[in-house]
Amino acid sequence: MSTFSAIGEEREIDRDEYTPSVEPQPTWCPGCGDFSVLKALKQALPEVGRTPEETLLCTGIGCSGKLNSYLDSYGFHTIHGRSLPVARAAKLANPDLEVIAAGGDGDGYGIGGNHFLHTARENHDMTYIVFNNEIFGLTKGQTSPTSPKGHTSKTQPSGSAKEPLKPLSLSLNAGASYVARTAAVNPNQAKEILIEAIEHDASPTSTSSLSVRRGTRTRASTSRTSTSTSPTTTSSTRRTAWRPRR
Amino acid sequence: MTNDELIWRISGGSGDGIASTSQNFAKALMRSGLNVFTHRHYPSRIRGGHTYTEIRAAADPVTSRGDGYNFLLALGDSFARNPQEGAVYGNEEIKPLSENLDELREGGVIVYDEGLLDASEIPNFEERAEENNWHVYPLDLRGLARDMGREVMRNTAGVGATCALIGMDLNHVEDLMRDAMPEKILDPNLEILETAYNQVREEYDIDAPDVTVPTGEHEETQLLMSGSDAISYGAIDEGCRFIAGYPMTPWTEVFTIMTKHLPKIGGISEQVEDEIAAAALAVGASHAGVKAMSGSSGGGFALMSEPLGLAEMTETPVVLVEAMRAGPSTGMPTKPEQSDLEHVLYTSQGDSQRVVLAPGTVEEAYEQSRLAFRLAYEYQIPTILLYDQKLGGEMVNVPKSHFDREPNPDLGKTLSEDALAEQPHSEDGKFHRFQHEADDGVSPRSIPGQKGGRYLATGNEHDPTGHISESPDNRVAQIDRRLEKLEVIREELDTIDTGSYAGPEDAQYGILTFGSQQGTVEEAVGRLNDAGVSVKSYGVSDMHPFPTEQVEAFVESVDEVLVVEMTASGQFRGLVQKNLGRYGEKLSSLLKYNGNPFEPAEIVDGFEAAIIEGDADASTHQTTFVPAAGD
Repeated sequence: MSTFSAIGEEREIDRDEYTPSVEPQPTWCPGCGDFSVLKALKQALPEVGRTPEETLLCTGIGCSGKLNSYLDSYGFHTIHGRSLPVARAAKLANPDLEVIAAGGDGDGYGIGGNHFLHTARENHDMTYIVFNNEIFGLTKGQTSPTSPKGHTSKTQPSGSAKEPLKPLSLSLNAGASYVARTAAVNPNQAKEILIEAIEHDASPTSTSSLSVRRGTRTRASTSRTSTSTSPTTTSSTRRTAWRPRR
Repeated sequence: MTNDELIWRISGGSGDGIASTSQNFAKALMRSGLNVFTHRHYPSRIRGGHTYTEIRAAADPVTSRGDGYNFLLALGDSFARNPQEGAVYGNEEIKPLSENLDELREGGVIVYDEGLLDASEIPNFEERAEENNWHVYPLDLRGLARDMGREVMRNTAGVGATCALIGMDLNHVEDLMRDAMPEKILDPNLEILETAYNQVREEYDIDAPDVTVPTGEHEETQLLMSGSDAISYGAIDEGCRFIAGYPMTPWTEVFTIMTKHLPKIGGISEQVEDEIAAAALAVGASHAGVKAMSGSSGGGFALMSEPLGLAEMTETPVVLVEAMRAGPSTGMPTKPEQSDLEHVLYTSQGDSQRVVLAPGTVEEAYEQSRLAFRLAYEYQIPTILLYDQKLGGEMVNVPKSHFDREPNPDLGKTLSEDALAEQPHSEDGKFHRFQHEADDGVSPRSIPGQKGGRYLATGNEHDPTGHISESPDNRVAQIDRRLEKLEVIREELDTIDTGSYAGPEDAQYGILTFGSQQGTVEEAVGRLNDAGVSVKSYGVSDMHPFPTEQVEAFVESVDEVLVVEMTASGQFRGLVQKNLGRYGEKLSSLLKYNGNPFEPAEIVDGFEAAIIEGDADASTHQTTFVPAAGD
């Protein structure tokens, strides 16, 4: 049976290990907040001591889904809205992996809304990052579930009639034990929030505890993060973090 | 009346314990040395509604339900709502008796619970009984059960009466009750069984029973098993340790059986929010190195299209099972059909890169469940196991030795860290997971957490490291390699031959079928040959990649072919013609899609009328005949 010696490896980690040589320059639009999320994540992972080969990053479809191409770890670029079911199964199959899921607001709150609620409800020990720019970016600016009421776009020419979704209160309601929001314009805070999110120990309410566990683990703590939504928006600079009492 | 088989039908209300009573009785018959085969008929209702289970038992092997039956045990329906003839569903109270008379053979036996059923409510009941020479035994089963235990134990009283009337010893039934029943209810049940047995023997002269239980002997230990059991045990023996699902009839059976066993052997079962998630979880677990499966029935499987395509593109091994029921849409949830064939072959965008297997019997369900996992993991390709409500629910005896095989936890072409170090990597250390040149088209994979195995799995077209690529050369190289796997799989399947053949090799005519109709077709072939018609059959299991050579040789070897399937549009015949590209003038179809599986006589009659007598309008109101293109 396979060994997983990347898991639990104790060594200094250079953040450049996460930068691919194939396409080191992301193709996001100049000035996009996605750059600072990428940077924050590249800073956070070495700080929590997770190497590229013990990290599995699962993304959805959209500009945010390109994160996999610019962050060199084990990666699974899934399909639109479905990063969470793939990610949580990988975490169940091998709890020693550092599992991070990422996607945009359309991906996570629109097409993947059901998975978002139920993954929060199961509260796996993994991290979910939502890049919330309040539009569908890759398909050129259509109205998304978090666009403000009245938002006009080519698919909603007379303005969205709907109030935007409230993802933070939704995820709290559904049972996520760490929920935080930060801003792309504040990269240092974004990094801190990501570290907190990854290090947060969730207690999964999912039915299963797995014994098909693999690999050896040398570190003291066995798990660290929770389903945590850290939507990074371009507008807000306010930090709101919430944790339940235990 | 023939004594070489007993076809016992127990009827009552859904929720009255008909299924468990019949399962125990089938086991008792099996342990007495007989071969058994069960057929379930039930409505899509929680409680109430007419339901029955039929057990066919004989000394010779049985591969199908029979034509009609010869012993009816009609119990009451405790949940019947409407005693009026004019109600939407008619008089529900009398249905356990009235609904079952048409198929009862001449000379058959009727035992009914006169405590709950009033035969005088059925028009001309006495005349019909006399005309058909039925032997009718009205017994107050409810009263007997109530006096000695509880009313619900009337099923046991009915089984006791059955044993008395067919001359069957009680010991096998008693043994099973001791195994299956909790202490509290065991004693009253045993007492009821014996009392009913003795009462019938005292009240009636049954020295020469109207229908007798055949005698047989098994050379080795037998297990009573359904298709759903066999699929589950095959998965477990092949090392499956992860299942994710969402309830849907009839797939829920496999989900339930797996969920019962997996936690005991270190596995996981997850019930999740929908079937998109279920299939995506199976893909995620497999990606992380665990043998994984999911499944559903028609409507739920439709939701799995996207994750199925993701598994194809990322070459993630996964097994999906599809338990067909009558469609479209919600269709008839508890009724079998084979009309999801095209759905599983072609659903999801792009060129299909999957394997589809359709087992024909319970034994094959076990073998092909294992085969599905082996192909999926060796070739890194999603494999679909296609079956239906009929195969999933029917129980037959299988020799215990059939399962004496080595387990196989092997993950296929997965590299160790040492082997990974020898593999090509890009400058920044990325492993070439999707190499253009690979033996059999299978590029070995790594598992997340392994040193030196980092790569990107993506639903986009990708280069050898997994990086997204739209280069024309890379595209052609990658898709050609993925499709090459299907050719190699076809070659491997040729060496196994999952097909099932019956009848003389040099027969004049042929019958082609697939999946669960195989056993019924084989019984029909036996009868036709006994009647002097020279015919053979071929039950096909590989739906994709298709055994074109074998099917072509079969069609070529006979004058005419009847294609038998449970679809309304001849999907299997279409698949045959698509792969063969000709022979349209040789193939006729016999179709059934009324919610009930074929009876052997329907195939015999259909074959004789359509092929032998050349009647282009051979259809009955229950089966449809579609003549060959040249006719």
